[in-house]
Amino acid sequence: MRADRTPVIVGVALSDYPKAPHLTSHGHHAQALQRVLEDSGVQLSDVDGYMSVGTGGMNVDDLATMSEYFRIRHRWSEGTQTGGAAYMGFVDHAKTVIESGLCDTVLMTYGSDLRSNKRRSLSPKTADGYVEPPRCYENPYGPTILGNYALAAQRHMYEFGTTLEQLAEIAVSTRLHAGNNPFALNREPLSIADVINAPRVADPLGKWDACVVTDGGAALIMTTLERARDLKQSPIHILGSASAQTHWNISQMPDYTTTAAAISGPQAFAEAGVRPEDIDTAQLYDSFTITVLLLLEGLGFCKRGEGGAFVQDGKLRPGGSLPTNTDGGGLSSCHPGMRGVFTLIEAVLQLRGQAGSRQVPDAKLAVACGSGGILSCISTLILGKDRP
Amino acid sequence: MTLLSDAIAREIPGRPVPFIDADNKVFYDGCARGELLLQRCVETGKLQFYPRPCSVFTGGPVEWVRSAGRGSIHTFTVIRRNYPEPYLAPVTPYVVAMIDVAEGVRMMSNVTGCALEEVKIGMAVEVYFGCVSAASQLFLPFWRPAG
Repeated sequence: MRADRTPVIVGVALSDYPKAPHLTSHGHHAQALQRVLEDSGVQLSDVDGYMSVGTGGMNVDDLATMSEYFRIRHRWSEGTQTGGAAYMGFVDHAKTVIESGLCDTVLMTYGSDLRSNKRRSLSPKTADGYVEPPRCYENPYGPTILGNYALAAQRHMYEFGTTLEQLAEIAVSTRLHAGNNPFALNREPLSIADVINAPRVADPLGKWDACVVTDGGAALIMTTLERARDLKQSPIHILGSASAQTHWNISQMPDYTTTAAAISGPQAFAEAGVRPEDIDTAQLYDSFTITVLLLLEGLGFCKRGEGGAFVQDGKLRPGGSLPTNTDGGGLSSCHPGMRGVFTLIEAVLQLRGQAGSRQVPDAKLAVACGSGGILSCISTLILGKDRP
Repeated sequence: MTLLSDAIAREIPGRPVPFIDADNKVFYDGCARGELLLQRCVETGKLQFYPRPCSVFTGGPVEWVRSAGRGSIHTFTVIRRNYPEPYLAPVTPYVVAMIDVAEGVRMMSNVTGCALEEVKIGMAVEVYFGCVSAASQLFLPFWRPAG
């Protein structure tokens, strides 16, 4: 009988967060690597595939550099930069690579010292006073990152009557989850009034609609189900996976209230053979409150335009029918530049039953959805505790 | 009421300006002459923005056409704080908007020439050109309420 090459996730690990002045970006990769080898029981010498991508705007830890850093003799590597969707896209691609037999064991690492290293910035540098196309069609007008997302939020409010209170519920529910995570950056309770009364930064969005800025790193290992039998953890299955892109720069977004989640979401759910209402917990990229609202709609948890009404009953909160971003998310816990891998790892921990005080009881099915660029590249994974 | 002045459409020390290359020279030369130029796909007749040397619809050739310079606000934000770009502090708050240009493309710009509180989605606007670098004679399109 042939070995079972079904690809599974067998190792996950986080480096120290949210503040880690003792770690460089590379150090976050390294600490996460050590921890994922310990978590999984995989030997570094078994790794024959490697995936990594440097944090946007800081090219110190790109794929080739990190391959050298860990001296990985990979048969195959990939560093596709789709921002916050990258590591979900990696799982999507590694699945095919492992199934095909090209690689047996794929390692992914990420690391960022965005908070502690004052030289870091997510804003592209323009040292010589010029900005090249296509950024020259936006940058001189001063849009800012939060402002980019505000363009989508404003349009959503205009088209569908979405309210600031409804968006605020996403910040509030995420903060409640952060209260269950001892490592989360911001754990003190936050009210709807706190969120909507905070000064606006880019109308209609304010301070608490935005993610935190932290340090952090992560690592993940995938291999075959056959090999997983000799490893430490119960393997987590990838039931469905898909990626899609609509644009990269916000001014090219075709429809400010529809993301590529409306493409990758239904594809991933169809492959998994499950529906949004079957999902036990959602881990959705939460760069800003509006990001979560648009992903919920795109994934099909509610209809387009109904995201505000969907969230306002508190179903995303601890104990709700769809506990979302259970580690406290990027809004309250950890956002070192590209959060995708952290949402993915939180989904795995929930399905393993290892989420501690924030564990969603009996979680069997999770969705992890990454948004990269400015609502541009959306990768969706449906992960399961059990085989399909 | 907060007046949105056209100071943001003038030269601001420290603000990066577009790098002129083979893809965008025609566009910015047009701005300097007071013309908003768009690209049309030769094969399909559809318009595109930003400038590229090929059609996003077919990959085929494009030609330049002049816009009448009318449009409306598709969506917008009021930037009240911009930490990474402190040189914009003197013109803050300011409005960043996506403009639906009447011919059928959309572009980012600033809206000026009215009260901040008057800016609304759907508002009719017209283009004007501001010199953001006297040394380079570089002009960018900006928008104000249609007269």
